[in-house]
Amino acid sequence: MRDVAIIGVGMTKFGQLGRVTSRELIASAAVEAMNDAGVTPKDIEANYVGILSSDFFEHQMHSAPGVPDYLGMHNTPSTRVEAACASGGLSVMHAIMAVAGGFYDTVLATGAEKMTNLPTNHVTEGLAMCADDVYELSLGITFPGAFAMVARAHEAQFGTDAEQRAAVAVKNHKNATKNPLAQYQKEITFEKAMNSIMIADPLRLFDCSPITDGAAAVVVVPWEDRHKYEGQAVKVRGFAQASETMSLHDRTDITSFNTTKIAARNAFKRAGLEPKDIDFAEVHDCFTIAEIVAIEDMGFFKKGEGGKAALNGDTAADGHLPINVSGGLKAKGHPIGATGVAQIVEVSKQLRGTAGERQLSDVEFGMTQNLGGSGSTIVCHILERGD
Amino acid sequence: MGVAESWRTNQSRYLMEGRKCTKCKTLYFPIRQHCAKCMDDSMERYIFDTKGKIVEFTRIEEAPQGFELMVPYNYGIVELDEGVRISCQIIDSYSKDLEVGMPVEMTFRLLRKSEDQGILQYGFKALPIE
Repeated sequence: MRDVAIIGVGMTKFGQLGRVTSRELIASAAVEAMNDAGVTPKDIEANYVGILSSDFFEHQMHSAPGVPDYLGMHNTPSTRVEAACASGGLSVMHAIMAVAGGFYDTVLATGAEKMTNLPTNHVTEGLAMCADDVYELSLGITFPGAFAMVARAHEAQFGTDAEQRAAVAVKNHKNATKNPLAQYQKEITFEKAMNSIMIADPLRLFDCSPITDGAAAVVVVPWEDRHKYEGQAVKVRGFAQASETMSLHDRTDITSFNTTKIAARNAFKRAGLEPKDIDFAEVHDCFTIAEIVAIEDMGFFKKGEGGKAALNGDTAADGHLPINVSGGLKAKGHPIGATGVAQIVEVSKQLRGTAGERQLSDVEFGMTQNLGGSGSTIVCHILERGD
Repeated sequence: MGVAESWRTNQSRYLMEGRKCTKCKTLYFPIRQHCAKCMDDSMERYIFDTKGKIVEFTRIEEAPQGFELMVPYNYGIVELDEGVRISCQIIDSYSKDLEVGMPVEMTFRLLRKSEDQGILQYGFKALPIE
């Protein structure tokens, strides 16, 4: 199996983007990534596209061929990857595996979602289709509801309170002020976060990631070929995926996601690294409690310490383990299929030293955690600064 | 959920009907054809008792399509007396009155009206009991 490099990255502005389709968004991000890598569409041998549901949001199935179509590379194989909110991370992982396995040498991994065409109750319904349709969604669950139960269980067991959850939102909004592509580039106060409207008790509006349009793309090549390209290479050190029961209620402990533990452990094993080796991470903060649970399950903080880590500044951009320096899903935005790819884009930029105002100093290893459903799919990647 | 899917899944939703593996005795809700533990398909019909207790809950204020007029409503994970967990709305309750561990009884109720085909979907909800 070959080592793999990320050689080009691209990402659209995240936000309410108006009169544009997901495939147009992907084309924009892909052109940027290809220009960055120094390749043209004719060099791309395969494309993977992470989209949760162009079916639901745009009434468009079979969205994979739309990407090569809009990039003028009509006959290039294109495959859609769907794993709820982990679709983007899984799209990148499939591109990596295709190159690592020697099937292709130059692969494009993309992800996008066009969500703002629908009213909020329909978006809530569409996202809830990632839960069990008959035995969760049809009975009235929502994802804020599912994560609200996680938050309540975590609070009951470890004392993770509203202030600790709000600390995640305040931190990620602050980080996003330095990300020009973020949906919300404004700081929020604890007071604002903790007094915002209730969505699912105890999660309030500012505990939740927004509804977003956007796309992201990366170009993946063999590590040994990296000097043939113009792009600055970042090395893929580890990746792993894990699955869990569809329904949250089928788990015995909801203060933790086994999938994150397993995917992180296997990614560390593949990389030959440990949690203490990681300098920063982009994790799936679809809700504030999700970031707290993620950084515990990945092994960065002891169980029950994740909320305190945000509150005392350990996970701030200037803390000892910066988490979601991009602004995270919370403030950068969460265009479902784009999210996992955008995490790879951010980690790559940081490792290249091209993250602009939010650049972290002296970073060697960065990690991602991308979550689908109520943790039913998790994808983790570990990247290393190139030579 | 469309008309056919609604009809074809109504045994579990109407009757709390699940399956019991005749080999390893594992209970499943809802109905499934194969035991995930021993991969055997000798499953027998099992009607769950309607009693259980609340494992966790929330009060939902932003609802999916079809539930908008019910907000706020309580939704929770319930462990049935047989040890199998399900989740559903918890009715006739305000969240300040609910507690983890509270006993509930499953009841048959209208869930929602489907937007696309207008069908009335029925199923179970949990009712706190003394």
